[in-house]
Amino acid sequence: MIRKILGVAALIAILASCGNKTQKEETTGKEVTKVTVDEVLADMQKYVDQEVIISGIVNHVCSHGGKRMFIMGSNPDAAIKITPDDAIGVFEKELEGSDVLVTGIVKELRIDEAYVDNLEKEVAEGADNEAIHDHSAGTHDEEAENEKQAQLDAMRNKIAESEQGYYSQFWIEASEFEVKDHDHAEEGHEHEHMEDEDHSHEEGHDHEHGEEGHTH
Amino acid sequence: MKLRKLNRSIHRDLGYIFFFMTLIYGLSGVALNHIDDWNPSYIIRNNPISISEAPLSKETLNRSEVISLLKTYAPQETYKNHYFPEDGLLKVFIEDGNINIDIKSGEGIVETSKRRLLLHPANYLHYNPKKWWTWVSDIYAISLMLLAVTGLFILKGKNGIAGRGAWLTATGILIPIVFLLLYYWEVF
Repeated sequence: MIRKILGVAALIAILASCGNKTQKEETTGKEVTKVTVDEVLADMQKYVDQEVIISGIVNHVCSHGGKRMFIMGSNPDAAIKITPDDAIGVFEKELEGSDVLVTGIVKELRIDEAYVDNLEKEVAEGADNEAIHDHSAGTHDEEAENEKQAQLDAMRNKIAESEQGYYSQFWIEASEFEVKDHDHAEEGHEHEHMEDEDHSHEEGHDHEHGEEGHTH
Repeated sequence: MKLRKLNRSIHRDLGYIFFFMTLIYGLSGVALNHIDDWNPSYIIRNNPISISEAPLSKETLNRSEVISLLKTYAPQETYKNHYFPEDGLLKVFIEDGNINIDIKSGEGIVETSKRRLLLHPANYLHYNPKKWWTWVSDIYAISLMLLAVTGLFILKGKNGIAGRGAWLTATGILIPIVFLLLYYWEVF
């Protein structure tokens, strides 16, 4: 009896650790636009609330919780933030460096003065927030607080500079994703980007994906 | 009398059912409480690497060249991808981590991460990864409250809720209230 119980417990633990490299099988029947990272980054507003299929190299996965990952296009200066929906749950750190195909809806968060005021209150109360999410784990509280205050100040400056009194953050909420077949190193194949676009990441641009995702 | 028996049965059976989930949440709860001090899900290792061919030229560092360097200096690692996050810095993604190399000096760090055997799956579940697990954990949370309430009425007599139990329960109620007041009054 005890063996059976332990066996079931072990099986549950193994299943839980298996990650989520599978794709949701449901199809919604909605129209989905196939886009490149560069196309979306060029005009994210155009794709807001649209379902898109996008591929790119994962250059970062938040290791604490796996609730965000970033994929980059031909220019590593900018990357798109991807968040998982409830069905995907989390992204595993092992995805870093993988070529992934993501299906999801482009989301927009408009940040104005009222939003930042509210955010400041939340930060003072110790709450985390998508717009100001950082990777400060590992730093001391005071340092993290200073960093958050600096981010709030930067947000206010950005709003002041904007013509419409707000600026937007964009990300894609993924409903499906899959890891593309990976060329093995031994085969020596060059990496092929979606739609045969040359994508060797050898252009040497400074890269900062930013903690806030892509912003306009 | 029947009510007390039912109370004991509920407490006992919920205790059996949720024994393992309590361990999962307890273990990962401690681990995640200290998330600022360590990575609770992965063992991160950093090892230095030195490329003697440096300085390297970005123009010649194509995929096959990077794979060749990897085979020489980190033969145990499997190449996934690479790019240049900033001028003079090469980042190579490997199967279980990444390598950052200063292409001028040839100095770099191999960072590998390995899932912690028990904590990774425990933390994975603790983060409510998917909606079905959210339902399971909701049921567990409600059951914990039931366990707490039924636990009050297990014993009768001087060690029961009318005796020693009352003092201990009151202490347990006071602890969070005192902390709450101290935080609200910004004592610390």
